[in-house]
Amino acid sequence: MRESLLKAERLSKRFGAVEAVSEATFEIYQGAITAFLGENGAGKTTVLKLVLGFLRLDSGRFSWAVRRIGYVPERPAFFPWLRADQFLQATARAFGLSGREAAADIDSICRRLSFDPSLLNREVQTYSPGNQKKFSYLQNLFVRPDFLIVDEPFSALDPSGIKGIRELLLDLRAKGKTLLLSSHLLSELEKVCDEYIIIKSGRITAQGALSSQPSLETLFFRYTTIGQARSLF
Amino acid sequence: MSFGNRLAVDAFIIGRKLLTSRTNGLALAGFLVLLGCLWVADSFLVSFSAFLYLSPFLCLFFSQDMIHDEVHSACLENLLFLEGRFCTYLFCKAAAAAAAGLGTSLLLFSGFAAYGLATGQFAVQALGKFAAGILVGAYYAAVAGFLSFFLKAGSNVLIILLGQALLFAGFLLTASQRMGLVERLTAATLPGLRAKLEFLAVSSLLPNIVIARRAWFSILGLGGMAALFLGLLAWKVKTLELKMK
Repeated sequence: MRESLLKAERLSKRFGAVEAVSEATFEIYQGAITAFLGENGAGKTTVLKLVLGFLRLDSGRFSWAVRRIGYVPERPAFFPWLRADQFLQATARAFGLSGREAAADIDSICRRLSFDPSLLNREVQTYSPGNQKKFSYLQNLFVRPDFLIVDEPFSALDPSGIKGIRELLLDLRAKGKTLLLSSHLLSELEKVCDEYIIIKSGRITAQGALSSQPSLETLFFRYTTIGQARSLF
Repeated sequence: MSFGNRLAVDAFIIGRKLLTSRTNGLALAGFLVLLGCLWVADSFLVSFSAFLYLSPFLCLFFSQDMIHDEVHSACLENLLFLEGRFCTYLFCKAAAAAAAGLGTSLLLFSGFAAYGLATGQFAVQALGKFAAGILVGAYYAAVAGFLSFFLKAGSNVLIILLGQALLFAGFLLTASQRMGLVERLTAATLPGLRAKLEFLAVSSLLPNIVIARRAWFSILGLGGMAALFLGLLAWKVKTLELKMK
């Protein structure tokens, strides 16, 4: 039996009159890469923010079976008054990493992400969007999370960056890490994901293992409004 | 992430912000230049007196750009602030701005006091005025912190300064029609509840007047208002969510 790492039960969140998430129930399994799919505005980011503690639940509950969580946002933003190395210094301090161990890790992760280490002397806000995304990966990998949540993992990256991140995600899974990827790039997700969760209008409409199902694209169109609209033509 | 590590990281991030802020540097430099000019042009006592009445403004200036821009820039949606840790960070930030203002004031006061004691110009009443100034500084920090939930960048400070300027202008323009209020505020005693309430209403916008009139009602009144705004600030931070704009 697969071990559940995150178990969410009947999560609900309302913004005024808008019901952003309604009774969302799902599970994330240990050691798997799960694709979190839905149309624009379906509630993907809201669900992520609820489980990460950036938003408060109206009702429902969730439980973690994990020691350390990482999060790479779709468009990472950073304090304009901190340089990248100061950010990493703060991150190391927050997670109790020793200086020498941290420095060795930074070098290897920079190589892995094709991230120029000389950029670490600059404020992250001055980076290109692609490098900001890479730095966000760097900050997260640096703390060696057991569970990494990534919102739009391939956004702002060039083709070689996308390839590098794809390989990195597969490598993390091989090391037993668990990942949750929220994205619209179905073709890329299909190359790396084992599981899927589909959300539509704030409700979870489908969840399952990818190997025993049709393609991710077929599933997406089957369980979203776009699919229903297509069937009309 | 232990509580100690978290506080150390919050202190590091907030410290860098306070140290790299040009507005804070300019405010402090301007304040020091003003005190220096008064000392050179007039006397130590005039400079010291100006310090005692104006030092709470340091807390006000250091409290600019506290919360709004950080919340809406998405900077807090970071690994460092998962699981609601951004609330602790923001509360620490408000406290650190007040502490930076009060710490700078204490440092300057120590210098003035040492010189005053050495030259026999130090009066004991200065201690009372400085203590009242600390309360005023804390009040400014609480109000500015609360306002920064709703106002961008340094406009939380600007709106307080604008309110004070308008209050002064109002006094000047209506002096002939409203003889009573200015006289009552500056009188040796404030007889009756109405006069006391008027004083407190004015001190809510211009709290520095409490430094001059350190009566029990003014200290308690300003302390109560500071506690109220601090409570509102804590409540806003505690219920804050990082929503999309």
